[in-house]
Amino acid sequence: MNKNQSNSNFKKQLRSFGAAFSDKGFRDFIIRFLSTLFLLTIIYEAYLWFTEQQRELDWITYKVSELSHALATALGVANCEFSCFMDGCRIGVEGKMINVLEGCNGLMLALVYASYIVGSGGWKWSSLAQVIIGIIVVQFFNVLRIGMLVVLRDLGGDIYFFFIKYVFNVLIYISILFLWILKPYVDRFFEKPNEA
Amino acid sequence: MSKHILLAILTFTAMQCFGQQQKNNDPLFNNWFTDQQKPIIPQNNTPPPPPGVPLDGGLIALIAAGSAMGYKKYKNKNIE
Repeated sequence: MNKNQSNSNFKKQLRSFGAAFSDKGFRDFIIRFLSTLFLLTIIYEAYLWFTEQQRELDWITYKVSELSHALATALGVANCEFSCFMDGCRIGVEGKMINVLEGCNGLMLALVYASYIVGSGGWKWSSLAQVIIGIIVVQFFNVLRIGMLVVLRDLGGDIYFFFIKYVFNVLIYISILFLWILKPYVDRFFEKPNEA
Repeated sequence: MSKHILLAILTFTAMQCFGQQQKNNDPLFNNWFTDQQKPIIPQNNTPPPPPGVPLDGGLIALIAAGSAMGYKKYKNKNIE
């Protein structure tokens, strides 16, 4: 494909995106998606600000760290320590710890997931149920990720950095995309009792 | 004339040598010929903080992916 063809394809895509934006359904979806994300982010940031004022660590980061520590201990990491500070928690064996900060708790990903669900389906009970299930799934993968990272760090070697940077992150992002793909089927499942 | 020049050079060298022999504890004014003292840096025994495990690096990509999925959904609806 030469440069002119790829340029014309890109223009065509852009034009069709513009046409889609003129479609009311898609426009409503984008507005709902982004406004929900904006609203949830503001609420979350306000909560973080509040906990900072209280000089405390936020509850989500604490719980994710606590569960990850429990998982790492269950997976056989001996002398696995767990200590929390205002900025985050440290988990692992002395000298080989990892730092679980606010950006590691996975809640922002869960908020993007929830915003898509609300944007796509509107404010409905089925959306709320999907949001709750989705947040649990995302947090499950996140706890699994941090627990495994503690184990890998304990085992030593450079493979830990590969996992921390790519493997687990990709796994969580794919799980969110997978949940989005599953959404129409879940919607159908929720709609069935209503039809009956 | 050359005598004066030679004398000036010798005086200058002697002054330099005298200057080099002066012990100066300030590392900034250490000379080039003696062993330079390393500046004293207070040693901090606290180890570097453990690495973080950030997750929110691809948020923009995820938002873009969500928008693209919505776009595809409504595009398919319009075709139907």
